[in-house]
Amino acid sequence: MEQIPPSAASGTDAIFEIQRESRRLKDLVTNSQERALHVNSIRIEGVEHTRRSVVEALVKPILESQNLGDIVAESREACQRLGRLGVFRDVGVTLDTPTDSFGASGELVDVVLTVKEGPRFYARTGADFSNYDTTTNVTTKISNALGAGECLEANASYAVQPSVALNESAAAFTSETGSYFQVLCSKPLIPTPTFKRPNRADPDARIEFAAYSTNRNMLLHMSHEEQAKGLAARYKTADPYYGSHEFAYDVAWRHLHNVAQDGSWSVRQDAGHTLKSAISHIYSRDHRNDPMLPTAGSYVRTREELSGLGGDVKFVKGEAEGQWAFSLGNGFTLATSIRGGLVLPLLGQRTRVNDRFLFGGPNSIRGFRQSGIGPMDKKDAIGGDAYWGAGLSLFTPLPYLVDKPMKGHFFVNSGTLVPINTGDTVQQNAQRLIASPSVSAGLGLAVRFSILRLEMNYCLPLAAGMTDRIKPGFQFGIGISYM
Amino acid sequence: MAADDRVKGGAALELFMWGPAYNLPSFDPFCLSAAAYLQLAEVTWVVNECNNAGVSPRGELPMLRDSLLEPVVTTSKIIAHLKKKGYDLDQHLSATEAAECLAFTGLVEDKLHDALLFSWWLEAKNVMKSTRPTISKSLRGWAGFRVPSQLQKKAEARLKRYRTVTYKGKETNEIYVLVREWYKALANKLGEQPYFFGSRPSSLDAVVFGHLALHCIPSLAEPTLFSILTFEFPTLYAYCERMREDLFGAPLRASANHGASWILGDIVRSPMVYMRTVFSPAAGKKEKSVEERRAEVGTWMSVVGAVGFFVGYIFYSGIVRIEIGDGDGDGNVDVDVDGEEGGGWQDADAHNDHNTE
Amino acid sequence: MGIPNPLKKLQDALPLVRYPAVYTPPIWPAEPANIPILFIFPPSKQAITSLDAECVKYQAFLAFSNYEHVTRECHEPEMSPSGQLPFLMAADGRILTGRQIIEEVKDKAGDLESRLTDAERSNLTAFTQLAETKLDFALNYTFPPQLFTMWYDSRIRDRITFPMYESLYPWPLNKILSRSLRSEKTEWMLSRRAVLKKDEILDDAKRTLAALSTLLGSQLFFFGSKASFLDAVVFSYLHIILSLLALPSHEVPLREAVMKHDNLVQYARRVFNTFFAA
Repeated sequence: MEQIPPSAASGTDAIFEIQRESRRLKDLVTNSQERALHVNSIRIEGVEHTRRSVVEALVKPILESQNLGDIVAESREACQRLGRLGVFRDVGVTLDTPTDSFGASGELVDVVLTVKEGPRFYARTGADFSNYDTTTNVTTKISNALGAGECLEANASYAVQPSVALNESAAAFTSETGSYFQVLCSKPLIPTPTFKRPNRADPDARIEFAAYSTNRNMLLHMSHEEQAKGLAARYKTADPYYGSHEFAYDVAWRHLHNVAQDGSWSVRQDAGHTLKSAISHIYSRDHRNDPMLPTAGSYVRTREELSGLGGDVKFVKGEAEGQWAFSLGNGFTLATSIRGGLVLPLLGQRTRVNDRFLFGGPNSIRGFRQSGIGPMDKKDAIGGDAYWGAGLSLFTPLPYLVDKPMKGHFFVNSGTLVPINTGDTVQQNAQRLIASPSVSAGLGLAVRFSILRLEMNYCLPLAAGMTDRIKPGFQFGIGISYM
Repeated sequence: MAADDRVKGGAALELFMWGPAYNLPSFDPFCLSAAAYLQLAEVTWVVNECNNAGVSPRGELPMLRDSLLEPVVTTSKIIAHLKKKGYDLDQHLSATEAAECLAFTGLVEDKLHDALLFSWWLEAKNVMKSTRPTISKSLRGWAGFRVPSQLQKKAEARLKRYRTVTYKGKETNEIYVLVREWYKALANKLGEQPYFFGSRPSSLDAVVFGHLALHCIPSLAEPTLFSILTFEFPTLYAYCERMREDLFGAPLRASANHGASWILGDIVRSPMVYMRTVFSPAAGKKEKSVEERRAEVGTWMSVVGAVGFFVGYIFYSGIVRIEIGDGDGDGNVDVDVDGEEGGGWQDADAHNDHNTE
Repeated sequence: MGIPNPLKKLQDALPLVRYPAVYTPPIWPAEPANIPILFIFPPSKQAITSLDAECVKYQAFLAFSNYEHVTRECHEPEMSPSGQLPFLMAADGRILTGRQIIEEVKDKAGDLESRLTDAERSNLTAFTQLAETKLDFALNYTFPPQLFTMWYDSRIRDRITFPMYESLYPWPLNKILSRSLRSEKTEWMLSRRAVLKKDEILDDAKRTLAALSTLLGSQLFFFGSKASFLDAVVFSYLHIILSLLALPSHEVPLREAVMKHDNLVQYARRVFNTFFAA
């Protein structure tokens, strides 16, 4: 836990000196852990806007310590809890001899917690590049709004389709746009700590309320626009080891409109207003050493959703995704990933175009156009009810660029997306799911850019459905999640 | 009785209308119709060019002031009023002809007006190069900036339902297909006669002239309506030209009330009305139902309340103070090029420095 | 972009396998008859004619023309390419609205108006526009094709509008949609009239009805013994006004105005009995 101030490390001698000193301190602490010591008082310095009662509740267990080891351990725990409040930029602990103690001064100690609150107001503007559009966004945030780590946040983003039409049939819609607006209120839920309880038992939790409004233009692979306005309540727990859970309730008013003149009937019949009211659960666990270009570790994510608690959209939906990376040595990495999903309508309904899955494209099955796999009606990708996909990638080091986040990339992708016919038997539907996997293979470059991965691949589709939209040749991919 | 009225009220008739443009006494078809009716009925009247519709209690022009009576607003009411006064152009019409007169008047005032609005305010070229500058010039003072935008906005709301269609292999707005049908109906109705109902003019002639005269403007940047009229319906075009010569060949008598200082004139004439137009651009909407007004008040109240709450909260919690006082250069506002959230709460790490004695 | 040679060779060496499509969209209108489908706003229970005047208009026109078709209910105007109901799915799957429907019907079932003289055609255009603007306005103001009056006439709201429309969407969407629809309608009305005054709108409707009554006289249809598009238009408004606004213990002024013209009432009844009563 020792941290050496970088300024001190000016010369080799100084470093040795410091190392010797720290070893001595460590010995001292280790040897004196059993020494009986009681806490006289806890002083907290630097609290400005956080409610004292909140801070006090978090540090209270220190008082119950009976010896130096406990005091140190509990102080460390308390610091971590304070840090998880998301309010403080710095938390430090000092042990001090009490000045006003009545007992023997040798057995009493004052704990002084020095904190520094981060800025409360925060604003950011930025630009994103995703697969098919550029997005400008603005975020403003008021943290610690009511003094207990509450966070008030507003995001707005506006997407503009670049004038280069990536899909020839969509060349007419070059001014394609989308927008997104959200107001979010969140609050950390930190359980009241007790003495000597391991940290892992009370994972970080947070509760969130959000109101959002989105407008998505689907003209690239379908022929309509979709507007959604909604309210959501979420309960999130985060645990870096066992994974994080999110339970959410979401009610959304969706408006599918502006169906193109030559839009297919499959899209047209779902035009209009719907109200979705759904509960969902997401589990994710990320043990990869780098989410964009991992060389080791695994990633698992599942999502279940039940819609139909009020509203007029009734379905049950499940999705799962897994990724495993193995280092082969010499900078070679083998990454495998699988994913699948299923949506089933309830109570005699049929699935709608905005609830079904879309599949294919540079982030899933390379060598196909965005949403280019699965059921089509005229020029619209109308989505399917069940899908699976699997990918195998080999990342190789590049000459002269071994230490750069840039790799050579060989891949094989396969997957399919099908409609489920509720009239057929389970066997028939399952048969359809495995009958015609679309397959592609290729090679290229993968580069990590902060939180994005960029890919430039030469793709070769090997098998495809008659209506699938293949894109042999060079394909450019950019995004966060890849198969 | 009618004759008496004519003698008494004759000289006092004053028509308030939008100003001249394109060689016509007004750029507004409804004002032009009213003026044409007055001319056709050989009424003695004076014209008062207005700068804003606020002089009228309804926020609309034309308005006719007949001595000390309540002013009459809108073309149809002006015509009805004049008919009552004995200036009835429709006396000679049979019952069927009167019904037809009403139907064609409706066709012109509702549909042909749509076509005019489309060509004037939705054809970008015309807006930029023709209508906006011409009407700005016709109005004086800042009304020249305000009124054209208002007219354009209104036209956009009104013409929402017209779509783009393919006509004879070309993409065009539906309205140019429909307008041909409407012109055709009018041309058929007119035939070779001097007026729509035979040799004597009727109110329909005033209305059709008022609107069509503005369709026949060759100097527009995009004179689609003009070319349709001249090439496909020459009788209508000739009719308009003849009527223009007959009715507005000689200059109109201007009102004595109309001084050089128009703003002062407006204010002096009716200060309340003037203030109202200046401060409420939506003067035309004022006659709303109680529920509507209540809903509007509710909306405003909630907006004011929300803003007030937000501002109050900010002051209460001292956020503003921090923003100003926090001068340690930590950069509260940072500009970033990635889309990931700060994610502060998860990775806010606590630095623990232990100092033991 | 030139493809490097080895890659091209590789591409040639690995031919693409094509499977049959996973999904074949059903053919509309349904096989084997391919009968055109007219999508209309739902009628009330046990009725054939839609609750929406615009839909009745096309129902009547198709019936007059003897155009073979079936009707389907649909309450989402967004499904229509023009954003308004009704729309017609032609036998070849094209989706038509408004004038396109009229052209399609004229093309397939013959032109009802071919025998009219030029003067009659002029009148047809003028009176059609007159009815479509003035009666539509009056009906919109007093009774709504789309939830409108609820803000203007509480009795109409409770008896007709709510039962009719509120069931189409789940709560609270029905409330939100009705509000937005209402403000949309108000905005549209205000774009056409600077001032919305009940008396003026009703006066316009009264004069229109009088003119229509004069034109009809004692004839079977507006232009003699055969129906035209004008008949479809006038019938749709008369039928909606007479049937839907018939509220016991509550006089709707617009309906009273129609009732004053005996020939129009008779006409509406006759057309309904001839073309819609089974």
